[in-house]
Amino acid sequence: MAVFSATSRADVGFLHQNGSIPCINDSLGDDELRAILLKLENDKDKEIFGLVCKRWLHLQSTERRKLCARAGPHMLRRMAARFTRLVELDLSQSTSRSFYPGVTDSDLSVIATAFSCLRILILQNCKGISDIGMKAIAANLPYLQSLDVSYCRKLRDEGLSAVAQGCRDLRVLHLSGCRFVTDSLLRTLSDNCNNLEELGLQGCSSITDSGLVLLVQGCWRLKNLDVNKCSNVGDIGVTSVSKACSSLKTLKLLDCYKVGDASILSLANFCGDLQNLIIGGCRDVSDESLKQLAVACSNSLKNLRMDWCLNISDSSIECILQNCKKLEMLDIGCCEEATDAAFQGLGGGLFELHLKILKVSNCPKITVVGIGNLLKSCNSLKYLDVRSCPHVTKADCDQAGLQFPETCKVNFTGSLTEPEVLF
Amino acid sequence: MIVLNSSDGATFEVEESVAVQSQTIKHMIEDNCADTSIPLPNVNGVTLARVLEYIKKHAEAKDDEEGLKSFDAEFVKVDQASLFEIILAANYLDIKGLLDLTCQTVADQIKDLTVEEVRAIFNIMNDFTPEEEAKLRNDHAWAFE
Repeated sequence: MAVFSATSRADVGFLHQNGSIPCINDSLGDDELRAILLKLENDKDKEIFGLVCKRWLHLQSTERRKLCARAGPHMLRRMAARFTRLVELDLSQSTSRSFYPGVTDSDLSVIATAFSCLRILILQNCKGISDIGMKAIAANLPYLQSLDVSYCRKLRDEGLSAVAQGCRDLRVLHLSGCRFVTDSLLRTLSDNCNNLEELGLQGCSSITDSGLVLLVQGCWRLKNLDVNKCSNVGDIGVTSVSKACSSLKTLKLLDCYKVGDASILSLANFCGDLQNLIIGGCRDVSDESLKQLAVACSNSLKNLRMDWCLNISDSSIECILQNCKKLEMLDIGCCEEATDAAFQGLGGGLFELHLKILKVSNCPKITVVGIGNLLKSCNSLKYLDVRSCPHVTKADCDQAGLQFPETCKVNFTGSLTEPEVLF
Repeated sequence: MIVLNSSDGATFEVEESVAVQSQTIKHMIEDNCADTSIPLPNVNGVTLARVLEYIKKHAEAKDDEEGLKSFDAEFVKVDQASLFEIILAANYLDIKGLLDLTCQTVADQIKDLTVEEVRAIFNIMNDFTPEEEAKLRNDHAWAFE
C-alpha cells in the first residue's frame, strides 16, 4: 500500500490529474470534516479552510461562534447570511468615529432577525442607534444574555424597557453614558430580568434612590452594580441594595457625595463577599463605618478606592491594612488627615501584605518613614503613586535608603502612565 | 469475548474490555444487543482490522506514553483513502482517541498551506466563480478578527 505524506507535495501536481487521489469530499461526511476543522488551531488556517470550496465554506461559517467586526451595512448583511450560528457579536466603534454613519437601526434589524442564536451583543459607542434599534432587538432576540450599549447616547427608557421585556434572561447590561435613562427603566428591569447580575449605569445622572429600591426587588441576584457619578444616589438606595443583594461583589459609587456611613455599615452587615468598592468622593464617610467594613469583609476585599474621603484618618486605614488580607489595590489619595501612623503597625514584619497598587497622592502628612514601614511588609508592590506628597520625593526616598521591590514603579511627578485596574 | 461482523462478512473476536473503547459497541453491549455477534454494516473488514489493532494496542500498553506515541505516529502512515476509511469508522464507532489522532493528521496536512495547495492535496474542485472567490478573500482581508 502506497504511503502518502504531506512532504511529497511535488508529486501532488502529477497525481491529481489521473484521479488516483480520492476526493475528500466524496469520502467524508460533514461530521468528519467538522472534526478536522476543529483541529485547526490558528485563525489563518481556519480562513483558508473556508475558501477551499462551497461545502467547506458552509462548515466553517456555521462553526464560527464569535465575531468582532467594524463593518458597514453591506458587510453586515453578508455576515448575517454566512455566520448563522453566531453567539457573540462585537460591533463597538472607537470613540473617534473611524467611519460614518456607523451602526444604524436598520443594521440592528438585520442582526436581530438573522443571528437567532446570539447571546452577547456589544455596541459600545455606536452613537447612531436609537430606541428603534432596541425594539428590533427586543422583538427578535429572546435569548440575549448580555448587551453593552455604553455611550449610545440616543437611547431612552422606552427602547431599553422594550429590551428588558423582550430579553428576560438578561444577565449583563451596560448603559454607561446613556443619560436619558431614568428610574422607570429600573422598575421594568426589576419586573422582567430576575437573572440580572451586572448593571452599569455610570453617568446616568437621573437615577435616584427610589429607582435603586425598585431595582433590587426583582434583581436581587446582582453581583456588580456601577452607579459612578449618579449624584442623586444616597444612603437609602445603597442600603436597599446591600440588604437585597447578598451576593454583591462589586459596587461603584464614585462621586456619590450623598452616600455616608449608613451605606458602609449596611455593606458590612449584609455583603460579606464584597471584593471591589469605589467610594471616591464620598466625603461624608467616616472611620467607624469603614472599620466595621474592614472586619466584615476581611476575607473578600480586593480593591478599595476611597480618594477624596476627607473625613478618613489613620485608624481606619490601619484597620483596613491589618485586616484585609487579600487587598491588592488601595487608593487614599487626597485623604488629607492620613499620616505615617497609618503604616506604623506594619513595620514589625508581622504582616505580609499582598498589596500591588497603592495610591497616596496628595497626602501632605505622609513621609518616607511611613512608606518605609509599608515596604517592610509588602513585597508584591507593583505601583506606588506619591504625586504631590511634599515629603515623599525621589530625593527623600534615596536619602532614606528605601528599598522598593524590583518590579515596582513609583510615580513621583506624574510622568508614568497609571496601571489599568480592571474591575 | 465479543464477535464483530464487518460489512463484507469478515468476523473478528475481541475482548469485551478492549471493545468498549468504542462507545457505540459499549452501548450495544449495555442494551443487550450483543448476544451472538455485533454487525457493523458501516465498516469493511480491512478497516475494522486496523481499528482493532489500534484499540488492542491502546488497551494493553495503556501506561506506556512513549510507546503509544510512536505507535500512533506509525499507525497514521497510510494512504489517504485508508485514512479516510479509518476516520469514518472512528466516528461511527465513537472512539475518541482514534478520531482525534486521524483528524489531527489530516489537519496537520492542511496547516500552513495555501488554498490551491489544499485543493490539490485532497482533489477538491473549486466551485466558486472568480467573482465569488474575490469577494470572500476581500471579507477576510479587513472585516474580521
